[in-house]
Amino acid sequence: MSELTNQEIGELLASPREQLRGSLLEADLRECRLTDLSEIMLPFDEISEIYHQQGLVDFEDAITFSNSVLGDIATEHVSHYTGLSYVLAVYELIDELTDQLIEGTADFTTFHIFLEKIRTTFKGVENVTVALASPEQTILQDIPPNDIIEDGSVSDFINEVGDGLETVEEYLLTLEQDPTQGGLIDHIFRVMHTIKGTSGFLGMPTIGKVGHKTEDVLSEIRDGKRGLDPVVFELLFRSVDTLKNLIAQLTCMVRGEDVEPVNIGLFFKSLETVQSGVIPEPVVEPPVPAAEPVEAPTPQAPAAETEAAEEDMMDMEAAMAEEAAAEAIAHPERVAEPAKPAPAPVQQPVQNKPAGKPAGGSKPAGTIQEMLKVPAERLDDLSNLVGEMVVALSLLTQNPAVDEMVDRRVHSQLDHLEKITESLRDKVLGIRMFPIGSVFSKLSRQVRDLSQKSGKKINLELSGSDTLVDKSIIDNIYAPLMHLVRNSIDHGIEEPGERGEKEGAGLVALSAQHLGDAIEIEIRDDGKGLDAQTILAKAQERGLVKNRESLSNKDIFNFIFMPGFSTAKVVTDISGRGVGMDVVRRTIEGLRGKIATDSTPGEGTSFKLRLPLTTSIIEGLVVSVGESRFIMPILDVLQTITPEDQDLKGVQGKDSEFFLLAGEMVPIVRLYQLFGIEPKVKDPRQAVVVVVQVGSRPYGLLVDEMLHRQQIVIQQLGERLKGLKGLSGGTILGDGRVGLIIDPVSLIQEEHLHVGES
Amino acid sequence: MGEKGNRLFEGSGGKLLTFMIGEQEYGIQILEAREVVGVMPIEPVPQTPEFMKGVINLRGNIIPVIDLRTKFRMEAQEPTSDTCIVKVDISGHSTGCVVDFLVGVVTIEPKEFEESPDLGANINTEFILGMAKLEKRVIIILDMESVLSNGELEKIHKIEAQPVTEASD
Repeated sequence: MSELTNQEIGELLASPREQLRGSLLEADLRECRLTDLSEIMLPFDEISEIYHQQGLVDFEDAITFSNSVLGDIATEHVSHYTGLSYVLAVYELIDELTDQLIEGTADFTTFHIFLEKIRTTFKGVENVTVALASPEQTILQDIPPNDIIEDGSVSDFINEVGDGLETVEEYLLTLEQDPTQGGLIDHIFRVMHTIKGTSGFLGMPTIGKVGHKTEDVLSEIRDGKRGLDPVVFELLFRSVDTLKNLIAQLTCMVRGEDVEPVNIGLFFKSLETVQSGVIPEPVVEPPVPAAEPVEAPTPQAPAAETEAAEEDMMDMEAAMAEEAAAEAIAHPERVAEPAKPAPAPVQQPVQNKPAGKPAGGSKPAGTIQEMLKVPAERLDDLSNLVGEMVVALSLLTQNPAVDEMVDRRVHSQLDHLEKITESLRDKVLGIRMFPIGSVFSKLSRQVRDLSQKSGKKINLELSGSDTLVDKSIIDNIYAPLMHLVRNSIDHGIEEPGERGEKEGAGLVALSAQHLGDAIEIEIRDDGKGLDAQTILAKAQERGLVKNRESLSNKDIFNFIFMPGFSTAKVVTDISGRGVGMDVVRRTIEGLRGKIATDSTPGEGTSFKLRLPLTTSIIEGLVVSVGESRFIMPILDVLQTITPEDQDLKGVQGKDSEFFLLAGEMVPIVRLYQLFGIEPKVKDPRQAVVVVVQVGSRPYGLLVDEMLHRQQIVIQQLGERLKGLKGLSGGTILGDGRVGLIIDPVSLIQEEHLHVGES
Repeated sequence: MGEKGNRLFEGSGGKLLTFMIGEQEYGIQILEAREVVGVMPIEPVPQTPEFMKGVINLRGNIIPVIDLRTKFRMEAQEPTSDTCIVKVDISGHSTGCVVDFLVGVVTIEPKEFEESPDLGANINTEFILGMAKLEKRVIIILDMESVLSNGELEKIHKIEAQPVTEASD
């Protein structure tokens, strides 16, 4: 064949490239079987042929390498996950360069260097000569790319997985003792799901693989397809150990310390045993080679723990918040932290640290203020004390004896004290506040990766990045936001070419703003919207719907937050197991927040998260029922009203079970009945109805009287009263007595339960 | 002597804090008792078993309070000026226990201690660690761990939430 122009080569390559792209994406998203590999190899061969004819040796070279990796996958010399990530990397390189070639701007120098680098790392990655099924299989992971080390993603990941694994281990031990606690499987499942998801996006295939495989087994247990026999426990514990070791290895890599290979063969051996369904002879640990310990090198494990302990520390600016610096604090330089023999943070509480030593060691430290690192616990104590001080002061000012004092100086001095106390409280609360921008920037990275992975072009719009929110929200909001963003891109935004009249690139908008005492975070996309009919059908299939006529679209959308609810047909790396949204709701509710879903077919979906500014102090409405006083979190309250006679409706011979509010029938929930209290008022015409929203429906809680609105410091009721339905904690009121905080969501659920029983 | 009996002598040196409930004197290991406060307003907590009196504000901390009379299935009694709340710490959790009358601290010798005494078929021994027979007194030593075990509360917690999806009309 004669020399062709670049354009002609481009045309020639178009079809096999298209095919390859599709197969690779497919293989990447799914657990592909070996037969699927041929779908990747064929177009590779075709492309390689074209390059060969055109004398483009570099491309040919790269493809030969990719093919040999595929061969390694096929012969199980390298895991599917790791191998494919290399193939993908090379493919993207070729793809980009081919585009440049067609445009005539290709530069092969960097290509050479890059390819060589990939090859060398690949050789070091897995000891490819050992088959995966061997229990001696060990692995050295790739060091993650520098940018995600620098922006803190990796250290967040390490901490998150570390904590998650601790919990899993605890649950497993409990479960082994008491197999009746099957609910724990759900928790373990969620942790593994998160590990799988996050590691996938950060490009840590081995961790992702172990997580994914474990999740598969857990899923079978959850569906009742597999029992909790000793072999399964063996596997689950192996999984935890393997993941821990991998994380420890990762930690050492990021710190630039020497790393030892980690054994993953034992895990896969256990997996094989579990999947084959044969009860094996007791698994004997292979003898540890003298030179290279197979199990986690011990010095690594404590190092990881140190890191976890450090996570509990909060950076505090010596001078109060200046936002530019605050940005830097959100990512304390945990990664760069040298592994020291770690005194517990409590023993060495305040360190004077040189500020902001960046991971790469290259960033100028000019703009960073002097920092103090203090244990978060101390700040919590401080804010609790300040909360109590506010309460104690209000006790004093409300004391009638003070009122009777004639000396005017006492009053002005008290006023002064009140002002100081108030500003002290604001300052203390302010210490815990950080701009949400750090979370947004982590999300932007994920959006970029997701966009590449799915082949959908995405425009990301950010607004309100400098909105200040509590540290506990910063720490916990990333995972749920990530799930929502992932869903928007995976399920919301249409495939390229299916977007009709809308702009080619899909829009994902993230915004944050303060709304009174709350912060609102919105995730909006302009995709195809939620399909109410499919959701409804799925809900009916699962027996969640009793009366479909009465369901509004908002009610229907709420089903997506039910545990195990998924309408996705294919379970992928990205989403579709139906765990995500359930976790999202739990996390948001754990932060005392709410989610509102809105969606228009063809126009897009929006999730609005409303969260209190801080999690320890909330604005509450104090109400009374009989002698007791309760607090309704203001965020839950829509309005308070005393219904008019004509608006009250009875049902089934019972009087006043509903009242009409703006054309909607609102059920009346009698708090005194639910709580077994003798009220002062039973007639809704003389009492007060506090309208709260649960899900998408309003409910009216009947109370005797509305007293006042005040800021309250939330306290737990103690271990023995944990998890009471309808109550989320208690607080000390101005007169020193305890008021109980009502949690409308669980209260209404409880109420329905009673209705169901009677 | 069993493990718990051993702990009584090794940990608390045989020291007991004793109090009256009805006509009977009871004791708990001194190490488990943190402080004693006079009776104060107790805020009832809905949906808890009868013996759970509610919660109190103990210098800014909210702690749950149980009534030992109710727990031991004895007749309830209005609090008097002698009524006290004994704060007990077991595995890091504080609980207040309402008792009729505080007697004081007494030290017992191992020879005065009798583990798992036979109190006849009518007496429930599940909360009892042992008995101390002194010259003129018989003290029932309580096993606070089992008194405060969450058994009954857990039953309440087990009522799982169900989806709020049924139509309300």
